[in-house]
Amino acid sequence: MVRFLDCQNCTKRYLSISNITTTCPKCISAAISPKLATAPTPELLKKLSKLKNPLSSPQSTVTAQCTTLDDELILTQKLSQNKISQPCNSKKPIPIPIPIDREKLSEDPLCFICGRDFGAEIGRKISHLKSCSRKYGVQLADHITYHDSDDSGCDSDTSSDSGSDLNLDSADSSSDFEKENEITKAAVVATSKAQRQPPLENFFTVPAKNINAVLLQGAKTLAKKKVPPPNSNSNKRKRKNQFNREITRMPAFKIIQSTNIIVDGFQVPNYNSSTYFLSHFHSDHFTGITSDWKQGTIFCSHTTATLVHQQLGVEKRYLCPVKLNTPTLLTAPEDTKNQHVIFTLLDANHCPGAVMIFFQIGPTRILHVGDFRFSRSIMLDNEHNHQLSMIASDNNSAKLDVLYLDTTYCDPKFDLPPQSDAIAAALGVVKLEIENAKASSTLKPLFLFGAYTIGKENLYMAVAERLNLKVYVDKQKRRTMEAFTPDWSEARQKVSERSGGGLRKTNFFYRATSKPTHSIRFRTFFARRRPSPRGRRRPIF
Amino acid sequence: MIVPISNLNFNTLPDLLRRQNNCIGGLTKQFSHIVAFRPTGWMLTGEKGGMAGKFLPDSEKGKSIVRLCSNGTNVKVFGIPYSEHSSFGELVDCLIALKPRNIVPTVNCSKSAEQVHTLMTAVRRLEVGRNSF
Repeated sequence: MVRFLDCQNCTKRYLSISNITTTCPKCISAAISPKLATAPTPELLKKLSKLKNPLSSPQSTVTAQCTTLDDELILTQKLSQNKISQPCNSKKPIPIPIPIDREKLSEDPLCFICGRDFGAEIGRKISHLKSCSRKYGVQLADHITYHDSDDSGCDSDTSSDSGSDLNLDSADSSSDFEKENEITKAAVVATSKAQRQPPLENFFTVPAKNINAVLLQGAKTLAKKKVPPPNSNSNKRKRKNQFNREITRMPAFKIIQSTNIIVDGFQVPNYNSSTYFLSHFHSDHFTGITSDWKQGTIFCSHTTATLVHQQLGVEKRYLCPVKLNTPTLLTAPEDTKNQHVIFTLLDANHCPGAVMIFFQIGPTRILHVGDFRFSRSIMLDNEHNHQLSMIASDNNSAKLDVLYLDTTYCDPKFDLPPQSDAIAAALGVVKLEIENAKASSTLKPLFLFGAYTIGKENLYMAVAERLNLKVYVDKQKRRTMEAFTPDWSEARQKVSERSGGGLRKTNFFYRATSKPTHSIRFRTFFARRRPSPRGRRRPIF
Repeated sequence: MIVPISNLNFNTLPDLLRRQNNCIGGLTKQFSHIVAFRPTGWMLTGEKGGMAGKFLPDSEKGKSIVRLCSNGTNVKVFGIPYSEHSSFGELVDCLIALKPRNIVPTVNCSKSAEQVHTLMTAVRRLEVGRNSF
């Protein structure tokens, strides 16, 4: 098949006819030049003869299967030559605007292409003829005869001579220059001789008052012949295919070894797995889940399941919330490849609902940590589940086979302090600011905490609790927080949506500044003042 | 108040302050300035986000873990190394505890070979140090 490939030798892009070679014809001919000297086989000559007339057999139908290296070489060369010499290749010859003799047309009321009767309406007939010729690829020049039809057989070589016959107003001194122009124009026209052209005498039969008009007409004719660059369609298709290919490939680190279980990979449409795990509800892990998710069951913690249902609108039947620290048997023989798979969800110490997934596939043990902050006290001294602590304590028998590791800060320079230190530091800053504000009468700070959809709750809740302050959230965030706060009525005293005051009326999202990278975080909010109820006015003190 | 972490920049925050004060109206005392916190581990290097700023001076250690970045008038942004991802030391600790046969990095996978290499060299160095004691 004809397609573009990158040459492995000189990295240039070239046109390949088959998959035999990986280098461009130039590189091959440089390597095996004596082979080319041999005469082409009769079969090849047949193929070439097909190629010689691109109008009769368009390029898209050239599927000649080349079997040998030489065949392909010569074919590619021939094909590229064809392209260079005939840039105006197209299935339909392009009609060229020509002066139509109205008197001649009025004699024949029928359209000679489709046979339609027009009667006396010449104007309509002319426009009809133009569209008809475009439709059927017929050239008007072939059918319409002109009053001096004898000159129609002239070659382009004679046009330079006939240029002197023009009725020109300009002076004789410039005639040489005009002649040159005519010659170059004729040459240009001759090079693009893919189609049959109306004889050049058409220009000269019509008396021209101005040489500029004549030249411009020629330029216009040439400009109208512009043909889209060859293979533009195939390029587009190729780019699209490449794009698709990237999406359709499931990254290896998202597939659990020796099974077809997917963890945190939802971007691939129609992937042949029906068992998915979602470690936690962060946008970089759930990308690909939409409200019409139907590919398979998503196993996750209760909190994550609630959030996925609430925020992404996934139907509940595709979600399977699993209790933490509970070994569960997976019954999906196609995805487990008939192995005995037991999985356990363990706390990941990341954000609400974040879990690590511990797989026992027969004798092998695999741990996918999702996103986690490792802590020996939480993970190894787990009262409810001793699987990891057994692995950690036993040196010989129980070994972890594969560890899918969260390597966000995989660089020695990330020597992060413990979370308690960070909370203390934030607390110190807030205390200092409040003291400053109390000392002066003009200062009143507004404390803001940056956060993701979920996460960082411990920081701001700790600060607020310690200083006996309230945390203000917007409506969206409140809904999210409700999902993972089991006793909301208790937390309500600390977190307030503040509907009565001014804070809730504004929003933190502005059209000008927010960039829609995460659909949930930036669900469109616009600052809008609520219309005040009629008759009620703001009290003035 | 909680805002998306990406909104903590000097373009958005003065706007936010103005809008909040507009809504409050003359009823209560208006906010004079914003004190914002960026709780992320990236603030240590300033690679992501770009709001680096200087580390605050600390009387005990000489340098505090908090970074301050201010626009000079009414916005102060404090970078706080509060992270919910494992630090490098914790990753090494995890590897020492669990002793996995294979490691598959799930973040920045284009550099996965380098990541495993750096981790394993650190683990080996630590274990050698431990054995010598």
